[in-house]
Amino acid sequence: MTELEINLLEEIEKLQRTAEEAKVYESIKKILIAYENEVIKPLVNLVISQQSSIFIKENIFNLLKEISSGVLMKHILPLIKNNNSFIRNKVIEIVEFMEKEPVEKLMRLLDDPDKNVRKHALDILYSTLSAEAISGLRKGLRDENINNVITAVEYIGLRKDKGSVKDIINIFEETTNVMLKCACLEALGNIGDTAIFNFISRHFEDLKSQNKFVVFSYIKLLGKIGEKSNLNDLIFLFEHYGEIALKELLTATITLCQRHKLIEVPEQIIIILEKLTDKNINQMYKYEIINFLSKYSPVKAKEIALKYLMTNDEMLIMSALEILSVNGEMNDIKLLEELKMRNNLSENIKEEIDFTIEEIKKINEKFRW
Amino acid sequence: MAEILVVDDSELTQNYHSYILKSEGHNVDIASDGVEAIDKISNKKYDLMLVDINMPNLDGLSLIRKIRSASSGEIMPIIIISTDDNPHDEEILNLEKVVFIMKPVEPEFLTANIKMLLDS
Repeated sequence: MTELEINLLEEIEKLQRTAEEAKVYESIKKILIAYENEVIKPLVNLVISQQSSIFIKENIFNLLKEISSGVLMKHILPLIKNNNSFIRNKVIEIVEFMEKEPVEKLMRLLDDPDKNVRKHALDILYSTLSAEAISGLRKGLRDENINNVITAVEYIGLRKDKGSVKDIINIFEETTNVMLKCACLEALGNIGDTAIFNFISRHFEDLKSQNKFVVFSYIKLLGKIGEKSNLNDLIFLFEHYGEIALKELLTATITLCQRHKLIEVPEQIIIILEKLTDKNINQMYKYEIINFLSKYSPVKAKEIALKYLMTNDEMLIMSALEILSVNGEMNDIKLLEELKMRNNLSENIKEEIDFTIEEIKKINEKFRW
Repeated sequence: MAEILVVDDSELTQNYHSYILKSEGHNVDIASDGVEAIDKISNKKYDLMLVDINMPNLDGLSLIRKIRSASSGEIMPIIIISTDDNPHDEEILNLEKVVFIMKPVEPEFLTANIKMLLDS
């Protein structure tokens, strides 16, 4: 260890022992300013030293953030190859502090023979939020490692880069990897370009032949960019994927309807959902179905609510009470009073029943006037 | 049907792994980093956890260390899923009921490993 490293370590360790952390921290910063370029290498050495505690490493990274020089970049960027993910994450934090300068250096790292280095370079490019970074992310689409291509596709989607739509569609068409196909669809959904519609009608005409995991991503895509005509696809999907992708289907239908200002959904969807409530599916799904129906078919929602009241599941009873507190009629009160007499109900539910009865009375009182 | 926690900072990976798990009838919760995962685990019992290595705040390997050092009774099986072909941590890889799988995951391979861990 050099004399400078020893001095720095001593100063940094003081942070742990002294009550005046801020003061010690300031004195170390003064050393940094005075010896800026000389001090970076020793600090980086301390970061990678096995002997340095996490506390020391954390403080060194905080100090390094205060420096913005080419020398820092030279020493810090190679640390994205480090085995320790704590160190790699800290490097990303530091680079995020920088502006344009590191983009060029990061672009060069996209040619590094190590796939992990190229992956970290993509991570950093994405997080820099600079316009120049997009060309780096596009370069990632041609990476020889499939994980890096998936990462680049995801980041391009999040950046909504319309310039990459054609490339992403090509990747979708060429790859056989399911995760990459899903990544492409989710990215296209985020970008939302009109060029995507032709692609959809070309590839998803026959939904029966699609891989089921790709279908999940297609459902999300429909929610984000689907047209009214795609409601027919959703009917098919509710029928065939309703039990495993119900949450995704409900979300996609709601977002599609909201975008097109639709207040009704096709009757077939209502019928399928009602049938699902009789099946042995996750109770949470049954809760979500009744919430969905309360928006698009209040009459059906009430019918199902009355059915849920007869179960022993408190979550379903609670969801039924929520519906009745809005749609209930005076003749439902008798049923609620009978329900309250059940001896296996929690106090919470009993209170909710009282509240629902009061709400029904209020609603019907208003209606009478 | 098992309760499974997916811990990954990539929304795409969270979704993709959820699709695979839901298709097998499992219930899935999501955490975006180790800190969120600890919060979820302290409030709910999970039968299995899928965890990425590189994540902000608290990375996957540190998360596993914390969970295993805190667990006194039943051991929750863990599947580490990462783009790194080597997690560089033999200690973790040798832990009981820990499996390492490389991304991108083949659905059949993942479900076979989940079945094997849950059955054991």
